[in-house]
Amino acid sequence: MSATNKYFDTPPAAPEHPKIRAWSGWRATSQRVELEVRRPREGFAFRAPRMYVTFYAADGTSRQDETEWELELDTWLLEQHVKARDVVNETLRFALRFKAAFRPIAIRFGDGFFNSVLVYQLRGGPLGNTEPLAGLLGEIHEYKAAGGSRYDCEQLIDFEITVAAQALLSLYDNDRTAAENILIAALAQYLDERFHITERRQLGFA
Amino acid sequence: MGPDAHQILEKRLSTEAERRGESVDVTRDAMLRRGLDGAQAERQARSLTADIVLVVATSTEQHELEVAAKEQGFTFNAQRGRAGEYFQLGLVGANRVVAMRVSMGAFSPDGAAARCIQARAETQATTIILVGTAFGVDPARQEIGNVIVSESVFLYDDRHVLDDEQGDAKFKVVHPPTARNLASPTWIDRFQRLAEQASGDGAAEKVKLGIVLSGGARIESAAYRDELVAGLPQMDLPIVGGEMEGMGAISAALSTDPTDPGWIIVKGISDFADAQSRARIEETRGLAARASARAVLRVLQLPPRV
Repeated sequence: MSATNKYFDTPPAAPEHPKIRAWSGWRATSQRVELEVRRPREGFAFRAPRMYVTFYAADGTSRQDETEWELELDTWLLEQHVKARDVVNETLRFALRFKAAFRPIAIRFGDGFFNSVLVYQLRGGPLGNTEPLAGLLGEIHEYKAAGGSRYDCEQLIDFEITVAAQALLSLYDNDRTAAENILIAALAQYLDERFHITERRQLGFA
Repeated sequence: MGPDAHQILEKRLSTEAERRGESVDVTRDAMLRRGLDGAQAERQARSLTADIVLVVATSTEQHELEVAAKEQGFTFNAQRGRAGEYFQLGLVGANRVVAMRVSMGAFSPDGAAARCIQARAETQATTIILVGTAFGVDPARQEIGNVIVSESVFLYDDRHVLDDEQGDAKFKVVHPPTARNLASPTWIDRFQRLAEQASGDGAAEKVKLGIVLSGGARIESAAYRDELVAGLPQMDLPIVGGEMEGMGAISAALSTDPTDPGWIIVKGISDFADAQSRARIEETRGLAARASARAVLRVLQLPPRV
């Protein structure tokens, strides 16, 4: 046995994402940081989303970095209180965050069960009658899945929506209306893509 | 309906009739017909709603899926949709499931790509599962009827062919990163569980996850098959087989979310893409198709991972 062993001698420190390492340095010398998420539509498809982060210095200069959208990077930006450039972009950002957050739940419970619980949860929840979510929910046909796991699935979905709501509230300085509008629009966008609502309209099925 | 509501409707009806320049009775009939047509369309749309679309490409694959479905107590009722015919299996586990048949390969107008896009929009399904038959690549280790599941699909036609200026060959083939497409993590996880079960409890279907080749070629040559496999880049998972419809379904399913594509390929090995095994295809096709159908139906009924 060796006298020293790095795996046993010191507690682990998680290595930082290289982008976060670079952005942290730029952040320190910036007055303002702005995020733009771009995800161009190509027919029925989307290209992979990319994030463009602009650091504005006090002297008026700026530098921009771009990379593929990643939850870890976006979460760091959220912690730094960095808003997206406008409401539409903030909506897309949170719709992407919902995709990432809901994915493990869908994996655990399976598509059919997750679809059912999600839609019923939203319909019966405090946002269910608010546009544009209400209109989209009206276009999704769901059955009510039964089973003992339903409660677990509901709790996980609720948790993720609450996390997003709280993040928005903090990002928009406790402006509840702004946070709520973005949350609702982001959920609507998530549902639209998951259940192909726009695509149904484009193809004449709705 | 209360008297007030009735009066409001009568008032609206007479206003509409006046605007149309028709009698109230003619307008009433027209509106009733339109309302009933709408209700019928809505009912049909609702009954075609599904979480999962199972896609088969041949009459044998369709037949074996029907047999496997009925064997496990599910229906297989034909139902006309606006984009083509579907078969209702009903609720399988917690998933509403329909099946449909596409033309073999991905190139025809009613091939997998076009039909999958239409079906996804028509049914609102979040997952497309390709069920049926495939070729194996390793006759020494694989058997007819083994089920192969795509952890990812390698589109072998997605390639850049260049003059080989430094080497001895006339040309070289380079596959871009887009050639390999990851299947749905949701369903990879579920089929992994089935594969574990299969090795643990000796289930009838022997399931192996790996890379499935997809392309337009109908291969009946061991030499070509081996050359095809040898010419591919080194990958972290084994190539388990190949088929022809995956590339179409992928292009359809990718549009939902490139990071979590809602598709997976689950096929039974019916041959080894060589003359010898293709000569017995009439005997082996049904066995392979039924094995894949059974595996899919079993996975759809798996409880949540806890």
